[in-house]
Amino acid sequence: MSSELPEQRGIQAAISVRGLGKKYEVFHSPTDRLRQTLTGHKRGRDIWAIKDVSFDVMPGEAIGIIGRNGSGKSTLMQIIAGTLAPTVGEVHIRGRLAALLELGSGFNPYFTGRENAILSGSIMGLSRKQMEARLPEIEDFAEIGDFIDEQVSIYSSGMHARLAFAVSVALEPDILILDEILSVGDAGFQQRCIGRLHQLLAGGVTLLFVSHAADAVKSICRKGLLLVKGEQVYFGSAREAVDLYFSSLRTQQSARSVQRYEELADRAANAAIIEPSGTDAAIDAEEPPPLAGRYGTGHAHFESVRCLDKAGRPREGFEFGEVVVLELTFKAATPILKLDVIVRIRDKSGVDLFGISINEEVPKAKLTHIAEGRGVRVIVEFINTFRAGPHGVTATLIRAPNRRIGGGEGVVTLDHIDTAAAFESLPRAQGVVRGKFQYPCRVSWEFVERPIDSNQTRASAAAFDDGPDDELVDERDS
Amino acid sequence: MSQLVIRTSIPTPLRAYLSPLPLVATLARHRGLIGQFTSREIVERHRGAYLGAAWNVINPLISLAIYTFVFGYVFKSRWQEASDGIGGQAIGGAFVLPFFLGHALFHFFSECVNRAPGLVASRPNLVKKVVFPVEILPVVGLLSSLVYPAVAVGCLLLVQMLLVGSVPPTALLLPLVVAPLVPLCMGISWVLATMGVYIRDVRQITVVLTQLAMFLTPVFYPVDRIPEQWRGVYMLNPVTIVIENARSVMLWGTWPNWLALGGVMLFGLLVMQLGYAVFMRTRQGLSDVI
Repeated sequence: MSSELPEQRGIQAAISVRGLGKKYEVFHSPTDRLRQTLTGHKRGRDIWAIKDVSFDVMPGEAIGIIGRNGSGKSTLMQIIAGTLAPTVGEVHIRGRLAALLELGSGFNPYFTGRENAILSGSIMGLSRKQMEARLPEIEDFAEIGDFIDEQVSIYSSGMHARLAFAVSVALEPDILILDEILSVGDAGFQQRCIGRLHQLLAGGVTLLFVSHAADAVKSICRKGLLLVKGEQVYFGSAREAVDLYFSSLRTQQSARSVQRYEELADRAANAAIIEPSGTDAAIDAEEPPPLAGRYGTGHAHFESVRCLDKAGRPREGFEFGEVVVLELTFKAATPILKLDVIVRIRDKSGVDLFGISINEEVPKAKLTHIAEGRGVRVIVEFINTFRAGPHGVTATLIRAPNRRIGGGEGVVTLDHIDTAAAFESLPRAQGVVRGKFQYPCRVSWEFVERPIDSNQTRASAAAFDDGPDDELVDERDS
Repeated sequence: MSQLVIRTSIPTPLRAYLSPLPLVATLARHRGLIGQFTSREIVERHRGAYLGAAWNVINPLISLAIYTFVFGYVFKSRWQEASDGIGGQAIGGAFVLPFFLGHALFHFFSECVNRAPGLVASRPNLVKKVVFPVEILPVVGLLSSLVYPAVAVGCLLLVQMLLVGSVPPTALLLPLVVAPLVPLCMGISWVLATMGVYIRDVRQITVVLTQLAMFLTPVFYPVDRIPEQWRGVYMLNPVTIVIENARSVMLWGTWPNWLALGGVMLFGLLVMQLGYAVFMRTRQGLSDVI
């Protein structure tokens, strides 16, 4: 990313963030804080809530900011909104900015909803009259009825959210910051918010949207910013950012379990199952940057995942009913016990249609041990019964829990690739696929003369036994 | 395109706020907000109480009753000038008027000082969660503190009419005489409001200090009780100057000492300007410590 400010290039960004960082000093006691202020001697511990964040938001763009709790999302929003001063770096803002940093916290609890709306307007520089003109619209959107004239302190959190959102939108800002606004409202309200946000975006509003709701981020935002421990890990397409976010969640989890595993492995008598050098850092250094949606410890890794036809030729399109041959090859960097390969077939919306584990499928020939440097080729065959459209293959190499050395420890993900391979299911020549895939079923049917209901006795049912049955058989055959 | 706003780590230097221009601009820009907050504050202060806003009037009345009782019947104190000033000999209960006027004005000062440290500290929401001009909070505090002296002076005028039968025409000068107290309290409020966030102990300290200040100010006793050799230093207290001159115009019907009042006004304006600068300079860091 270029470090010059966009205005120097002649484009006017609504928000430009450059090298932004926020440092907090944590002190052992308030006395330490006082001593440091007085003497200048460092007594506190530095914690960077956000570090070196730089990005531009063009007018009318929607940016989703994602990250785990404590990753610095809210700090970043507070700095942009102006309630918090950065430690380093700067933010340039063009346009009137409204921020919903925490639900309803901007409201004075002892004022009524109506008064709070007018106050919010005053803060933004709108006169009482201007705000009163917008009140019907606010009431309409908030749908809190007569509560608008009650003290905000008696509102439920949902009502807070409704009013806060309605007011912020009515302020007609150029830039809108929403920090976790949707999480409180009910489903109906969330839908209306999302609808309203789309309207605002169409009207040219610039949006900064913090949410844990991945779907909402993907649906509203075109771009995404991923923060991990205060650092900007990714800034680009929203979809990619969300995928990376979920990968990072899993990586952190697996990094934890790897650590635990290695501790246990050390203790085990026949150690050296996993080389000590095989830490995440070492793997990061020797391997090319990971693909989006690829994570794992790397103690074993896939070398190729391909879709083939029955003759073994690589193929992309498969007819309905045709056999798809998946070929996966992988290699172990260290000797590994209790290895397993999981393959999942995913549709384009990311739903897993089915998945298999090779050790469960072939219980008699379990892949229990693999020596260092050994390659393995796995073949999975299945019939394409999927609805027309692109489908992805997700491949995962795991190490199953080893009871011998530790017992009950979690599964370690050695390598995981989202959409390691893809194939296209071609439209069905005859008939349609009514679900995500056609499930093989046995179907039969017959005529019945009268609906059979529970009052009917066995005897009366038996009365029809002679005759009609034969007819049915005849008809079916013909 | 709208105005460019830049947020950086570099705080605006203190001297940027040392001119009256940003100060006046702040007050002018947020006058609507200040008005709304003040009117709400006055009503809200007694919210939940059965008598509600009526307490704004009841409080000074109760004080007046207590003062009459304590100083009139328990201490049987007599104000030296009272006999000369207020209609000569038969003043009945009017002995309480100088005490009460002093109390009303000092109450304004002490209320401002004692409330200021909590004005921002008690509203972390407005600092952290919303883009809110927190610098108006001390202004709101000051304006709502004006209610007490206003009501008290109103009661005083009534009592004076009843007991003495007349009010000297110089009483019309009272607002001018009291005016220097406003910028002074404003400046102190701004400083204490920001200090109260950084150092929470300030709240306790001000309570002690205002109590001390009350005895260093002629609220319960006339100035002439102070030994001659200390009088010069004693009269440097700006609150004393205001209270003494207020008594002159309200009760004795004499012309105020304009020179002394002018001095207090200048001093007050200086304190206000400094207080504003200190508040604005430190407000950037408020959200880090609140």
